[in-house]
Amino acid sequence: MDFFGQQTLNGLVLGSVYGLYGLGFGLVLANLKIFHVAHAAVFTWGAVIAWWLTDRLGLSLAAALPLVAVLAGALNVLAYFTLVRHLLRRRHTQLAAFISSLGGLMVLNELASKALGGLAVRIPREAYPVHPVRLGALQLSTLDLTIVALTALLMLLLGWLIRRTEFGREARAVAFNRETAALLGTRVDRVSIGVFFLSGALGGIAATLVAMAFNVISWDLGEHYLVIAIAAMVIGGFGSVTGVLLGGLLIGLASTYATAYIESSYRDLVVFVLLLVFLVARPAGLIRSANEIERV
Amino acid sequence: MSAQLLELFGAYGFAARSALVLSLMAMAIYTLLNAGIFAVPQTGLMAVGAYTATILSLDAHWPFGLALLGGTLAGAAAGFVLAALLGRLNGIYLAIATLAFSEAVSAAVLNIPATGTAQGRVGIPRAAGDPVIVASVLAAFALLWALARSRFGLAIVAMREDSLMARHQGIHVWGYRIGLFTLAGALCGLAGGLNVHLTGFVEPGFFSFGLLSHLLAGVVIGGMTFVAGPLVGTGVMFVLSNLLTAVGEFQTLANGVIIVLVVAFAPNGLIGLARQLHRRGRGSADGSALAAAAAAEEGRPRPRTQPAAGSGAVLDLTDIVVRFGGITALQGVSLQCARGELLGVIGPNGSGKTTLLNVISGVYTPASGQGTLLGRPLAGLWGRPHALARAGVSRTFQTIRLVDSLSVADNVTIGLHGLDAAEVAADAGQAAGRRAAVERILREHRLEHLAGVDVGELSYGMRRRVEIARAVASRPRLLLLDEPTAGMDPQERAEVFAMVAALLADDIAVVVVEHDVAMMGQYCDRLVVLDFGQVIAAGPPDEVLRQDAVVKAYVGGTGKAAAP
Repeated sequence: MDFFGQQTLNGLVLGSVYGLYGLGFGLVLANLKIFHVAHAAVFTWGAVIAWWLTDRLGLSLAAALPLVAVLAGALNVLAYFTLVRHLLRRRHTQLAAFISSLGGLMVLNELASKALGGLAVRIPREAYPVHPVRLGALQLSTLDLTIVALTALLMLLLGWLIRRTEFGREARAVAFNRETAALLGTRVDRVSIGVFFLSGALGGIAATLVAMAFNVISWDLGEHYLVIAIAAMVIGGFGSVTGVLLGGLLIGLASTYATAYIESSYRDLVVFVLLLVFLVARPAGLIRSANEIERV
Repeated sequence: MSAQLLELFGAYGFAARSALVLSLMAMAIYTLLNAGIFAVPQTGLMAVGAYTATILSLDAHWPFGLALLGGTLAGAAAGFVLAALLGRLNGIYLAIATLAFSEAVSAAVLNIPATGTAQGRVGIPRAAGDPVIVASVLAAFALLWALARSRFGLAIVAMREDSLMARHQGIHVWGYRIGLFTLAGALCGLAGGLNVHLTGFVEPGFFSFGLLSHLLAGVVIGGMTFVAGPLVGTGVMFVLSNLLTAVGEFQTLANGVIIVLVVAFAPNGLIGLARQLHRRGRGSADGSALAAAAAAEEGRPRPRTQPAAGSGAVLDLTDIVVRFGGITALQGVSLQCARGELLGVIGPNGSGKTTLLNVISGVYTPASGQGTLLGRPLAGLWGRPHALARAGVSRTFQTIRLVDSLSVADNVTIGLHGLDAAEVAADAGQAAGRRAAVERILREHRLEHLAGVDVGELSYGMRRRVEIARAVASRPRLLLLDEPTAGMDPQERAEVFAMVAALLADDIAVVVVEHDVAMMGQYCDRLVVLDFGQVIAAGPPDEVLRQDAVVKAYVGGTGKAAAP
């Protein structure tokens, strides 16, 4: 039972991070109906920036995180302007934006590879000293607690932003119907910029946490977890904040249990089987939102 | 025997062979994207073919040819199953699902011992010589080229440009989708089988997201709606990558930048760009055709013939109810339309007119109610526009839905899709086939001088007429016109109704939705008035337009105005 409890805890910690990452894709998808794959590279860059700030400039993680969020958000806004914005009035926007974003992913990945000199790096331990914490029979670390608490905080913040603020109202209107929202005076471009900034910032924080949790940063960090983030999004329901978080937690638990009880090589397979089952049986995900199934 | 044809590439020989094999993958990407199917399962399908061929070759000791065939068929089968499983997904969600499929295949490979898991397998006979590779690529290209030139190619364009419109032309979009997935699967399986027999080994890392990006880049650069696009794109990538490798290790970076630039500035790829420049050089050839068209258009409205006596209902609807969420758009609508009858449907905005047409043409399935078409129950046809189109229903749309990039003749040809060859021949009165049938239709609608002009260059009124010509091309038994004269001047309106009258003489039943009550009263045999989803009046125009309820619905009186 202790073993099970420990694994559940580990799964939840992992799942929160997956959820944060998946949410970055989900926010953009809900608002623009495009699959912004370059977000995977923005995620990687979030970790690279965190490494720079902590390792090169000697900042503590607490001081670095807000900067990472802002810089990764800004990078994603830059991606919006260079990769996406000019394609929104096209006829086949989804396809064009996906491919353009794919090009951006290649460029940003390659730049990350050059920035790291092709090496894998680590965030120095001094930046965030990790202490073990005992919770009854369960073994935890201050890092685990930070990850869960930070995820919860960000989710609450995001929920407040979407439900209670003017920006949130506009974002929801745009997600519901971009053209109508524009006709009714919503500043859709500003909303898009905001959404890209938010998803970039979330991605940057998630990347830093992933880099801490797995203690490695490489140029393909984002691509490595890309499918897991997609799985979180698909399972949770495209575009639903709560859904993506739930999807992330489910994936985190499933992959942890698979590693613990079967064999580590089955981890990915379990995730993908889960993903395919959802795609076939319940393509709208756990939480049905603006789904795109056979719409006329 | 197996002379190495590609020796001429010298040191780049292997790279050239590899690029040719991958051009099959690029063709598989084209196969789906060209049909507007935003799906990217290609690397997963290639892995299925590659591992099947490997296992057949190494474990079952099948000869190369059979192993290759096995890989191809396995890829095709995987494509078929995938399409069937993902039948309900569209757009970006389909892309994500197919991406996930590829990843799932990779994950599965790592857990199946026969694949050699993470290490892969070596020692596969290097039997894929140049003749086999070149022949495979040529055969695949010829197949895709022939497909694009056939009527199926036209149907695929229609599907890409406007799936809903395509379904209304009798094009079975789901069937096409499954067929195209299967074809893409076969191409990927073939590429996979060839590749392992070219390199002599297989390893899971090969079928990566990076490979997919590289291939997609090639197709986009070449032009994804052109048969030659995959080949041109793969060729450009080959030259670039070999040039850039010599320069430095900036290949991926350059590929990425090129993709972004091509999508932004040359959305139809290099071939599209070349065509555009060529067209610009050609100048105003089309302009003169348009001028001739305008000259030919002087006057000549056709006389209105007597409406044929209504005998036998073509359409019979009873108590149709349609709900959208909490809104009931149609609340128990019943109506009949007889052979040779022009039935007008009028009513204020939001009264359910277009919803009614959408039910009849199969866009929506009613929540309850029955109907028959030519005595045949509609129950199995609701929600299946292509089946209804084949059963004899044809329509135009409130907003014109033509393929702007195709010529008038091609657009009308799409309307013939629902007919098989024998029907077309019977209709044209000879064995000359579709071309003759299209020429006849264009003549009948006085559009023959515009046959080769792209629809996008025509005036609004002219486009309406092309849409009507397409609608009647299949000789429907029931024609639905949704505001066919919207935005036209009185002269053009009269012409449209004159044309409709000529159709009525052929015993077609016509249901028309229009706003112009006076004109509807003048031309229609019977009127049905809808208000808030209910029929509030039906009958001959003179009687209907005199009823208080109809006047109220339009003028908005509630009885208060009459009170003192």
